[in-house]
Amino acid sequence: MIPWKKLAGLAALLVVLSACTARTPPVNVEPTAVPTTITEPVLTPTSTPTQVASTDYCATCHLDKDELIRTAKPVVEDTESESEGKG
Amino acid sequence: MAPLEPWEKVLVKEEFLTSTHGVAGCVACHGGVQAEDKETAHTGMVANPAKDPQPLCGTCHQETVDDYQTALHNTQAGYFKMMYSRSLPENHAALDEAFGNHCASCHTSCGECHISQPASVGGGLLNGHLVEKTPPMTRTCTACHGSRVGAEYLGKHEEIPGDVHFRQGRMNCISCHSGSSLHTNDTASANHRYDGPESPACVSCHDTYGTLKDPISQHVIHEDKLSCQVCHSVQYTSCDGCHVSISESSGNPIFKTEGDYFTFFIGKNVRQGSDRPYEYVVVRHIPVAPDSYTSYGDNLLPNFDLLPTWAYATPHNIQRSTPQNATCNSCHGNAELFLTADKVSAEELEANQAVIVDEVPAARP
Ligand code: HEC
Ligand code: HEC
Ligand code: HEC
Ligand code: HEC
Ligand code: HEC
Ligand code: HEC
Ligand code: HEC
Ligand code: HEC
Repeated sequence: MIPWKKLAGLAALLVVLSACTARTPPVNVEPTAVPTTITEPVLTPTSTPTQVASTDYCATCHLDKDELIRTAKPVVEDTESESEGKG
Repeated sequence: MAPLEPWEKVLVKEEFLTSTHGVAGCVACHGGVQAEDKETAHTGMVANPAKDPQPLCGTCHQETVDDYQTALHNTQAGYFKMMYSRSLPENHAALDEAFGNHCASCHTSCGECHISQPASVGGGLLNGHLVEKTPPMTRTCTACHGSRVGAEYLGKHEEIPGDVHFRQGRMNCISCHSGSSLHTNDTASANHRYDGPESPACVSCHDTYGTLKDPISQHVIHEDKLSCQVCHSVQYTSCDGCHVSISESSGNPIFKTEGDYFTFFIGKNVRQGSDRPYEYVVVRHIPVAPDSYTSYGDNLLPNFDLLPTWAYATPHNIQRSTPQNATCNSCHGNAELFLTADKVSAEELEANQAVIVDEVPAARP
């Protein structure tokens, strides 16, 4: 079998070594693995793309550990502890 | 499994936002509203949106979502089958209520294998919300299947070694339980895990069993008279008397089991048929009792005696060499190993008639 990935990697390396500014990377280096069975995404974002970038409050908070520590509810006793024996 | 800190459970990785599963944005799947403060943002939010997988995953994974309609992880049909079989139709409503309070939390959503830890262990993202192709064993499978299967497989019980497939083979649950076998159960096995063909069957991998190439004489002599576990599993967990109720102090659903202990008993196979031809299998005591559901009504299991309390079992602690397979007469003539009537409590004798071994195979000369 021809090791396409290695060859592609080599090609990319050659581009770099030959001091080309690899501004337009060779196509097909990475296969864009999109399974054919996948239909169009139906989930439509409810906010506009610009909002996502600047004011997606959900993501802003959920990516920020300190903010999560500040706002997370303390651990509550789970119901298991009132039970006895093995479940 | 070390418990996660509250913040760890909900910390999202940046790469999720641009991944196939993240681009739609949080609100598309979880609801809620864009707002700076937590309370407002979480208004109307759905923490576990995969409870209904069709709108969430079906658009792209239609086949899996369709398959999942029949999966025991989704339907929990096994519970209903066993509850109803010991009862009568007029009690179904009360039993359904008990199920809703005590058992429905074991329902498994797509997310509970692929995105977050099961709700029953407090949830928490597996890997910053990235969708994991391979469910991590100890954070998903044994988070739910921990006290019996997991403990046996991983060798958590003192002095009882873990399963040879784990110790020696470094195999995990899905080495034997493939994704497709968990995503769906065919008609034959849709109502109970032991209905229909074995899934998996030991011989699907050990395919020289009992053939001319098999060097083990015990295999060749017994053919399919005994299940593999009769010779290859060791002491496993049995339980007694589970009772469910609502806590008076907190209002939470709780359970109490009277005891759990180790057993190893060979009994008769009540599921004998072409799919499970064995005459003898190992059996474990299951924690059902006539009054298990008494807090939901009187005498809800009037047909208690229709099903055994010593149930067909497939313990996950397989060993090559076991005390019972050491020699022919470690087993033949050794009454201790067999579920004879004296080992069954008087009130459960009737229920276990079909399982009890009347005559222990005689010692070999
Ligand atoms: C494709 C739909 C989808 C998107 C988009 C999505 N989630 Fe989720 N999220 C899920 C699913 C499914 C679960 C697992 C729970 C379940 O099984 O329903 C989950 C779980 C979680 C959990 C863990 C809940 C717990 O306690 O275990 C958090 C926190 C969370 N999501 C936050 C977010 C945030 C923040 C975003 C946006 C950055 C987001 N989600 C985007 C579907 C989604
Ligand atoms: C917008 C279409 C879309 C939706 C909706 C979607 N998926 Fe996927 N899923 C994909 C694609 C495309 C892949 C192929 C790998 C990739 O791009 O991440 C995939 C791969 C996966 C994988 C394998 C992961 C891997 O790394 O190979 C799992 C598991 C999965 N999805 C589960 C889910 C679950 C559970 C849901 C519902 C909460 C869901 N998906 C919703 C498109 C989708
Ligand atoms: C949220 C809890 C939960 C998680 C997570 C979970 N299970 Fe289960 N599993 C259950 C319950 C409950 C049943 C019983 C369903 C029934 O019998 O009606 C079950 C049944 C099974 C069965 C027998 C039925 C069948 O489908 O063949 C197997 C095998 C199994 N689980 C393996 C696994 C493996 C492997 C994993 C991890 C990839 C896993 N489970 C994750 C709760 C869970
Ligand atoms: C070497 C193969 C193998 C491995 C590894 C394995 N199992 Fe199993 N499992 C089986 C067999 C065989 C059965 C019985 C199937 C049948 O009779 O239909 C079974 C049955 C089950 C059942 C249903 C019966 C019961 O006792 O409740 C559950 C649940 C289960 N396995 C969970 C797991 C989990 C969780 C893991 C990982 C900790 C695991 N299995 C690892 C082979 C395996
Ligand atoms: C009991 C655990 C469990 C549940 C629940 C579950 N899966 Fe899976 N899923 C698996 C396992 C195991 C695999 C195989 C992983 C592997 O081979 O590495 C898998 C694989 C997948 C894959 C990748 C398939 C492939 O061939 O690449 C997708 C997509 C997927 N699951 C989607 C879903 C969806 C959608 C749901 C809900 C309808 C779901 N899963 C529910 C355990 C589960
Ligand atoms: C998915 C394939 C698979 C299934 C299913 C499976 N096994 Fe195995 N088994 C293996 C592999 C692979 C090994 C070798 C582990 C090693 O030695 O590295 C093994 C090892 C063993 C050994 C130890 C052999 C030795 O030489 O030490 C025994 C005994 C055994 N299996 C019995 C069983 C029984 C009983 C079942 C059903 C409950 C079963 N196996 C199901 C793959 C499987
Ligand atoms: C009557 C008892 C008995 C039964 C039933 C039995 N085995 Fe064995 N098996 C043995 C003995 C004895 C050995 C050798 C033990 C030793 O070396 O200490 C053995 C060894 C093995 C080995 C390792 C040797 C080899 O051939 O690779 C495997 C794998 C195995 N058994 C699988 C199975 C499977 C699968 C089943 C069910 C289809 C099964 N056994 C049923 C008694 C039994
Ligand atoms: C772990 C238990 C166990 C071990 C070990 C075991 N046997 Fe058995 N054997 C049984 C049982 C149970 C039966 C079924 C008796 C019956 O049908 O009533 C049986 C049946 C037999 C039969 C009758 C077979 C038939 O088809 O009617 C012979 C012969 C036999 N065993 C020989 C042996 C020999 C020889 C050994 C040692 C090499 C051995 N057994 C090891 C449990 C065992």
